[in-house]
Amino acid sequence: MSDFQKSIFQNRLRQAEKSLGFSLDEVEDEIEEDEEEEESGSFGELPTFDKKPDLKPRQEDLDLPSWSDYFEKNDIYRDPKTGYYFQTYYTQPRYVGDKAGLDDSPVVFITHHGAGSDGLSFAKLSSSLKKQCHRQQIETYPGFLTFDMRGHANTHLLNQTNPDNMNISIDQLCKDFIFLITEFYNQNFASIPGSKPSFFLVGHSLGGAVLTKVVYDFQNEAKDGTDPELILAPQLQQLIKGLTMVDIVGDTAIKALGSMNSYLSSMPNKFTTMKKAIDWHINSKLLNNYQSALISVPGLLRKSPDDGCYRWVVDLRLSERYWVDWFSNLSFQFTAITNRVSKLLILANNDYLDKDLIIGQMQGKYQLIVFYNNQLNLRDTLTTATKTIESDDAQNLGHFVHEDIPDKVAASLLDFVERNDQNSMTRAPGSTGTSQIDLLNKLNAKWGVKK
Amino acid sequence: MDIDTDIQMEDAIDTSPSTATSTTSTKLTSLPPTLSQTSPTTQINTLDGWIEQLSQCKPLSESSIKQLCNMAIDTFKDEQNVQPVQVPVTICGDIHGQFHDLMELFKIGGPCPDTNYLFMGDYVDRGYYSVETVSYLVCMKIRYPKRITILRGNHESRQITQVYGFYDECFRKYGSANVWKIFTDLFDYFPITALVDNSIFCLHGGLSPMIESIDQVRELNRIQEVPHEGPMCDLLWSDPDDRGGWGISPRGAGFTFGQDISEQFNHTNGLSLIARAHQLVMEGYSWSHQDLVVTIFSAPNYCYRCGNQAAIMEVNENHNRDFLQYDPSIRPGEPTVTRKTPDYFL
Repeated sequence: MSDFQKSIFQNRLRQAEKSLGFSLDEVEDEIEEDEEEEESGSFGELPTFDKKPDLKPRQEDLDLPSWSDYFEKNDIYRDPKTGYYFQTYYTQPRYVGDKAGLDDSPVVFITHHGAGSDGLSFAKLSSSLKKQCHRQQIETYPGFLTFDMRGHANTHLLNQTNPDNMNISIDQLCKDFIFLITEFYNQNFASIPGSKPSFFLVGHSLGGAVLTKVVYDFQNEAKDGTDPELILAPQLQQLIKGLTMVDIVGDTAIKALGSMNSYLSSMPNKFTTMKKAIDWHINSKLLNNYQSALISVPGLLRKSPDDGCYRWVVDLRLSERYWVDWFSNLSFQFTAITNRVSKLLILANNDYLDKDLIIGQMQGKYQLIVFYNNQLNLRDTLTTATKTIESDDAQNLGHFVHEDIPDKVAASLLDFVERNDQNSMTRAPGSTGTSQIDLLNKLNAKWGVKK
Repeated sequence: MDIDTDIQMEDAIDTSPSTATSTTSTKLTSLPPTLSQTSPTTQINTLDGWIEQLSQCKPLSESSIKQLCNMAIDTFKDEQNVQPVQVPVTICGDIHGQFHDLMELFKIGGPCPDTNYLFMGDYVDRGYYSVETVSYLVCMKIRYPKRITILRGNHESRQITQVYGFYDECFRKYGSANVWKIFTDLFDYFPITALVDNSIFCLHGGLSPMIESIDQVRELNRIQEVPHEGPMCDLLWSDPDDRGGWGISPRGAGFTFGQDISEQFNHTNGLSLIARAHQLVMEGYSWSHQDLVVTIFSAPNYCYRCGNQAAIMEVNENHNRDFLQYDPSIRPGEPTVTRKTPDYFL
């Protein structure tokens, strides 16, 4: 049981007790015992890496934040098989309570951005998660990993001479992610005895499609005869507890592809200043949260030595041949993923589910949260929960949900983790005490359910 | 309006208008002056006029909706958390604003009030005619209070309707959110479960681990927004599952419950069956837990694209059960499914 789950569970337990028709005193006793046990336990020091040089773009006319305002590390991972480099950003899980150290199973969010975006698109979400943990008195802050995908932002610049820099087929992106998560695990957890982190994958748009395919492929390996390179190692499979897709619906995405070329052609080719590039993202309503644009937009552009103008790092029109494959079969795969990996779909504004997703939703196969522009007028309210949160979110909402309303998305993700982490089910008796699962066990015991 | 006067009210409507005249002053006090000052006959005429208008899929005016919902609150607040229902009755699942399919349902099942109906929630959202659908059902409820029972679904809530279409539809059809507010305020009064002849427990979602006996449902304070967790939430959100015991619901609210739970609940409460809706089933109905639980879904080709059949369950005087399945109604001029695609979706 992670301290993270424990502290959110304890809050939940207090509320549950009020509404329950029977006592949960025994559960509370177990919690206290567990806390005592864990105080004497310790968590090995996590490996650290040398800080890389600051990648902050040269500022000219505005004060841009740095990646280091949001993350602790910006390691570059090199795939030895292909020689390809990836820019990553990582903040370790952290314990902020009285006790020292982390427990052995921290929650880590691992994110994958969409086409044309970058890893720092998730910077505000990472800070909002910390903020929500603080507000909800959660003492263990989850870790947070993000990276620039192949052909994008700093990863693009690190591989400019690599002929495969723009090979962004769905299979290649899945292989990239499998390399990244494996390398991430090896660097941060593999050397810690007994360490069993809970990974919650969060993918925006194309990123959601990549993560869905990775999970679907390892769950259906035998059945579909998938390329072994697309199968995540079994010891990593079991660490993946949750999958969240942010604003992506397969059929709708494929329909939108028809107008994508004209959309891409209508984008300005260059900006004379970074401020103008950021303003364009806000004025065109692609992004609605200026604070997020300040950190997520600079990586999308690079300054040309010739005329000093900022031009796009990636020309997505070059990747058109991959587009349909990105999204075909996505909704089927998402709904077919079994409950061993819990699923959440977050949409913006429109409930434009396709047939597979709507049947899956109406059969209760995944959780759906739709954030809605009108709802944002009630600033601090979460859309699908009768719950109020403090929020510094934007007043408008578009495709980049996690950038526009990071506080609301963060609160939703914490709720999702709290509900669905099933780690404790596979742990030794006595090492548990405080999770949704324990509440369930208690309820099942009350009902005389045999294990 | 208490239960006794409600019964008289029904007598008045169904059989004898003269009996009702004497009770007018007591039972109509909470109505708006325009309607409370009218005789019950006029009130019946008003309701019949509304029903006639709605049966052509024409929405009522905002002021009529206001009057209707005021009357409805008086009716619903006297109903119980576990509303008793007698056989014969026809039990129906989700409708979701598919008004023409609701009309088809009444054709298949027989017109109300000749046939008794029990609806298990989810009248609004997703379909194009949530306003007409819920207005029609509430009108029928007020007109024939003993002939039709309306339970609350998880979509009869302020939160969910803002996302899944009912709020937008109200705004589109009335130019403001007033009608949405009037209806969602009314939803708080809907009963949450029904008990058919002490034998069939009917509700929208499923069981709650906090509820072992039906008496515990009776103790809940239901007049509130559907909470995010707790027993009332579970009753509207839970699903039966192949796995035994209680499980976490992938939906994000409620629980899953296994056959052992259904066996125990039905045994404890002397039930023969749990009838519920909430899940799309391709044949319109689906048995689970070795016939201890039945799922009924009454919106054919859900959302105009799922390709499913719909069904209703008739329970006759001898408790025999019969399922009537039906396909989408054929209606010319149905709005085509135009869905706004986003500008940017990579």
